[in-house]
Amino acid sequence: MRILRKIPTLFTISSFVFIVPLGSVTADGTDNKNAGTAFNSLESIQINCIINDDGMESNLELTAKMINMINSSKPEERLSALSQLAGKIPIEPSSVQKILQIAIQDTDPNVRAQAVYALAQQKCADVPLILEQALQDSELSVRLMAVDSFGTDKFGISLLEQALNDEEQSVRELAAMKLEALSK
Amino acid sequence: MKFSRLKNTVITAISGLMICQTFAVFADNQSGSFTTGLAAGVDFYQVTCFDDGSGLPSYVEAQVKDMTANTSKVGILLYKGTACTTKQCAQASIDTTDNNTTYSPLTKVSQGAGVYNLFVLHTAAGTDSYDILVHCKTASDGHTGTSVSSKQQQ
Amino acid sequence: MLNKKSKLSIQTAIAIALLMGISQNAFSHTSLEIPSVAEGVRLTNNVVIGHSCGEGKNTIASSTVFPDGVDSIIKVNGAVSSDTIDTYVSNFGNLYQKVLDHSVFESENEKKDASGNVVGFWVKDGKMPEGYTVYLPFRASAMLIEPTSCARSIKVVMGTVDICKITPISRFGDGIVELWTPIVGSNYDGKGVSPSLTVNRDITNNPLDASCGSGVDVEIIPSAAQLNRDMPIMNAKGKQYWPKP
Repeated sequence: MRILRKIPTLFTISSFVFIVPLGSVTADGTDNKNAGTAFNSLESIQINCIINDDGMESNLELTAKMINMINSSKPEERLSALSQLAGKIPIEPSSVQKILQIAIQDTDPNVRAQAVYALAQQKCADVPLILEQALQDSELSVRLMAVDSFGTDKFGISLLEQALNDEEQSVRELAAMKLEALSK
Repeated sequence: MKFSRLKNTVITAISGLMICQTFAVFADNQSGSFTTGLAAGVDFYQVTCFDDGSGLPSYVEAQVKDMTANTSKVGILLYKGTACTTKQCAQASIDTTDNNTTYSPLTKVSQGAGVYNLFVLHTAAGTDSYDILVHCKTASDGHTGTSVSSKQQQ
Repeated sequence: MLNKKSKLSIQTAIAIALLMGISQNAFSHTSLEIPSVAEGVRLTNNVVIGHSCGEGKNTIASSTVFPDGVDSIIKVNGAVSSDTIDTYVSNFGNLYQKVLDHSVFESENEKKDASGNVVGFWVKDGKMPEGYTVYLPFRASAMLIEPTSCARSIKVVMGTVDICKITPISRFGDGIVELWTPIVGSNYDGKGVSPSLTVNRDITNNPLDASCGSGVDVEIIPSAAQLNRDMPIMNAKGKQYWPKP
């Protein structure tokens, strides 16, 4: 499902706004995860990510291929596009934003999860807030990717500590491992 | 962990062929994922090598592709037998690049016909998906009878 | 008094009658085309539906279950054993794959357990009238008998239901379904006659230990729980097509 929202002005990190659906969660909420129904915590997020292309020349053919793949009806093709995007590939920055916007609203949780990781690798300014939102997702794969992507700054550490209370052992385990590594 | 499942679709003659072409490039291609996400998760398969008319099996070769980009990397351990002096009984291979485009280095265990154990592991917590290529081959490197059974999914 | 010609005619008639009887009985119930195979050999086989559910009835679907080896019933020389199949077979699991075939039924699919191993298959959207025979092809991969065991044969007992009308279980009966299933206490208990494939030990390459004597005959039979779980046919959207819920 694709939600297109045209926002006329650019947002800086200080004015970043995302719409929280009704009945959704606060930063430390647990309600939606216990609902027993799938909940995409990223559904209403609008990515505004000025991607630093490192001066890499964009490959138009690769860009077109990636766009085709993210619009494929096959989840494995969408996943493949995102896993490649997580590495350094020469595609147009505006297309990266478009691809990630589509992907975080994917109904397949594995695709959403991979989108979270790919987004984190772009090092956009709004990533920390998106990761915080991803930690509220109903799907294990999305929350694990969020934890995997948390930074080592103060905000990242506070999110890791929050993840120690997750209902899934693997999320708690990964958060604990990362915190332990940071403490050394 | 479970095989990546093809949904139970009604297979018509045409779509059946299309599915075969799209998903199964090799008959000995095995997909799966770590659904529990646990770092200690292990998936376990048995690979049976037999003479399907192409010749007596001599060895198994296998490699894995990590299909999920994240910190965790997927690897395999292939093992058979206890007579390991002249020919190794166990070999491992890890896909260190998880951008879903390349497989890990080929790993090979030469213990003849019979049942080999194939373990799939990952280096950290994560719901990694993977794809394994596994073949039983003759001494002259020809493909011979190969069947795979899943024993444990985490 | 019968002359030679009459005797010959009678003998011929009896022979023909016997042969007809034999050929009818060979596939009078649903069974496998090839009922036995040597260990270590892969085989293409067929579930043979020998007849429909009675006069004027058409078989419109069929469902087959292979024992999954997880909670299957193991018998040794006819007696139930607490052994698991791993005691006797080195590689049990995912040994059977349906061979795609739309000559009679347009739709088919494999059934898989939670680990992704094939535990059966179904066919539907077709019609086999009474008086005909239908072959449902599948491939049986090579089974390896555990060298340290005393098994001289492994009989894999399957369960097959031929369906002539889609009904709930409560309406199963003559003219509705033909239950070629073992009697194990499942919702699909039938005649106690069911398709089976016997795998025979390769005595030359996998000899029995002297302590085994002549060896034992092992059977693996689907449990009631497995038949109840795996016999139903699910449609493309995951809803149960048969039996009617």
